[in-house]
Amino acid sequence: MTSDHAPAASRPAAQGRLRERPWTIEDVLARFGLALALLLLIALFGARSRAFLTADNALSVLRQVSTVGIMAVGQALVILGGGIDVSVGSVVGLGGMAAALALRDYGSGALLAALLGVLAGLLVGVVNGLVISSLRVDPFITTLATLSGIRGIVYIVSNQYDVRFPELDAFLFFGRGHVGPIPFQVILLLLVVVVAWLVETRTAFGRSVHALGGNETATRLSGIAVERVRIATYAVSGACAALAGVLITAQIAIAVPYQGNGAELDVIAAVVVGGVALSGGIGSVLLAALGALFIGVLANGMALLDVPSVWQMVIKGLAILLAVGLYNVARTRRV
Amino acid sequence: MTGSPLLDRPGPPPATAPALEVVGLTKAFPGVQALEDVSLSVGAGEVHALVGENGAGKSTLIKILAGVYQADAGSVRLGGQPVTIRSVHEAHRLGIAVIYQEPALVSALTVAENILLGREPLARLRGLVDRQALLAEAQRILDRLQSPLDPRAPVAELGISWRQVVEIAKALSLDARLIVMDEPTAALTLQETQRLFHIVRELKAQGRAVLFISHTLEEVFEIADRVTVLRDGRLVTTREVSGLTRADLVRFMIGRAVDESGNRARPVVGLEVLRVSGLRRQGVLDDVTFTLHAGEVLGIAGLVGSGRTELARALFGADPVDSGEIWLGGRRFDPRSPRDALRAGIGLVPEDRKREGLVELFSTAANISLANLGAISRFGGWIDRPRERALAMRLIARLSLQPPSPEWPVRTLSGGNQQKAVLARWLARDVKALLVDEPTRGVDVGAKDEIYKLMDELARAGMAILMISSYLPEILQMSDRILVMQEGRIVLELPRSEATEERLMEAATGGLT
Repeated sequence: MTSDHAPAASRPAAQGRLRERPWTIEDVLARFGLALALLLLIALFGARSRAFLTADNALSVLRQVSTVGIMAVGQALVILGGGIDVSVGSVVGLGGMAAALALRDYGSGALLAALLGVLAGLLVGVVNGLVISSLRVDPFITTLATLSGIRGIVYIVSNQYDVRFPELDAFLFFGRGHVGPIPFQVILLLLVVVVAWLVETRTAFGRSVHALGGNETATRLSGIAVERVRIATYAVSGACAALAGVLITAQIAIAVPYQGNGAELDVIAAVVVGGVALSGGIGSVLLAALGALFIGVLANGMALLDVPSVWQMVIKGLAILLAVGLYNVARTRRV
Repeated sequence: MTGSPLLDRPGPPPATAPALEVVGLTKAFPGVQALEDVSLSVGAGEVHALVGENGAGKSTLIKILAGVYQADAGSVRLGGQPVTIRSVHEAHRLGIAVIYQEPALVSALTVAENILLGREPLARLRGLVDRQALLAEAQRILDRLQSPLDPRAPVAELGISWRQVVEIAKALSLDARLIVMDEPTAALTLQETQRLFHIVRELKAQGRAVLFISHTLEEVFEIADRVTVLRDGRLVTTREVSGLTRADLVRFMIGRAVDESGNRARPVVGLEVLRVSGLRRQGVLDDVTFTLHAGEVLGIAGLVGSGRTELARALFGADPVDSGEIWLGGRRFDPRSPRDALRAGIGLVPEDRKREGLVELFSTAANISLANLGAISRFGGWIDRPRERALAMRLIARLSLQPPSPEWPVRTLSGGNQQKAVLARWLARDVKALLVDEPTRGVDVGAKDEIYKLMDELARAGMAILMISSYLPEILQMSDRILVMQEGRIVLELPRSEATEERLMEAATGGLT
């Protein structure tokens, strides 16, 4: 509808009273609500638990969330572009397994093994993107299929056994190393978040991803190569998931065929808690990573407070529902 | 004025209490006075048009009648009785039916089921719907509208115009005394509009009051008895239509006179920019051949579905073709994607702004940038924000786009300003041929005029413009040359000097010329 449905925006200008739309409470909540909620959560746990507000615990939470956080960044990019990638759980397994096999069977060096692992995930992402773009298969179905197919491949190449590999210090460093007091995984997480955030907000590619998720037809008719953009988002998501798999494998010094099983759900939960709308176009990779941190802090605090694990699951579910509900309210109330 | 004969138009409604009387209606939103002391009345058996530019307050008024908003002050009387409309449900109960541009029906159900939704006749004993009675009742209502619609047809298979008929039938079944139509014709073809008007006259004959909102002034003259003009939330005037001219009405709406005196003769025809030869696509385009020159506006008339939009899309690389050749600037041009077309210097302003033109989540600036990401980026893809802002500011100023703020969310702009944002996208590029599809659909009168002036300027500056429009006065006003399409073929080519609405319409509907 094109008529005067938005008087608040069109009228002031027509009367020469131009001003930028003032910030409303809803705007503030949509942008900073999650950060505020996280601070509240930290204050709450900090007041209840002595062990919670320590540097050690903070670093340990950060390390625990780093793999999910990295995957959330890739997933957020896909969802911003109007898609979804549920194949990431299996890609975690593939990335770790590829690196392990490179080390065990081909005597690869640490860095090469890690890169091969990430590359395997990137290729899965490219395949996802190609299938969705060229065969016009729904993203959910496509990646559900690769979720199954890739897990099968991981079992095949590992003969369904755990794969042990030469424990090169340089490789184990990816999972266990520290730079000063900070776990290397956390540094990687920060790096991935910062780079992805810059790409998302400052580059033509990032703009195209948002446009694709916002209105694919208008984006195509503006001369943007939407298929390439779409394939790239899946490639990034695949690479992020495989990187997470490499980190986990390096941490536990063994590649387990079912590694990452179900991880897609944690990742999507984090992205959604971060306020990225599944309808596409709305949200940011930064907040998606913050969503992962929020869920991590919640889990950590509940564990320290000895909340029974079954109740932890219930509370986590409620937190996800609450977050999504609040985002929806905030969005519908914004003009 | 249109050339169409005026229809019989009885005098003012009888002196009994009018079906609807609105007195001193006032409504403010935070920061905006949407309606201020607006009064109007609609008599039984009257078709009353409500016109005004976007932002004039028409929608606010309708939404108050529909029970969506509550007025801050003022009163509404129905048949002389003061009423308070606190909810949509209450509006229904009071006999007010509002028909929106895009009817809200249940697609999965049939016509009959939609007409009688929630009030289905029940079979005796068990709580089942009596299908026979349902169909009979729906048929009875459709007969009253003299509509050939099949009550058993699934609504999902109906086009917008038929859906509107279903909405109207639903209103009748609720025995609505006042039927409000909010831009019902905006998405309709000419024939469909005529069908709707037939039904409106039927409603009028039954003594119902109709409040009719339209952007198309010709329709006001064709269907309405009286017209009320709103501007900036205030009542400008209510007049008998028969004593008015189109120019009067436009002046009331925008508060100044608009030059509609036709196209200022352009120094016609520069070099050939685009040559299309034998373009075919199964069931869509049939041997389309024409040329487009620099400095020319080539108008394409034809009914919706005649292949006009598909032709533009094919030229823009958005749809494939089966055979035929396109030459651009003397070279073979075979666009396989809009990206190819864009690079070659073709721009497209699509038919449906919302679906195909804008990213509504984006600001005005970001929408303009969308086709210009290369130009505002450095190092192969790093967006230079000051450059982006400067580009947007320049185009906003050039098009006098309101509000003149690059960061304003584009979805809150009026239709005309949204259209300017889509146009701005192409002005930033070195476009040789611009394809515009329905450039002024859903655009208010003032902005329409600005868009015409802009296209004229662009043509004078040497751009080749191909303009598709269902609105014949616009075709006649803007074009240097006119093509008429029908069933995928070009059936008529005329210089403007030889074109009349009648000739174009005849060709478009398959009459021989």
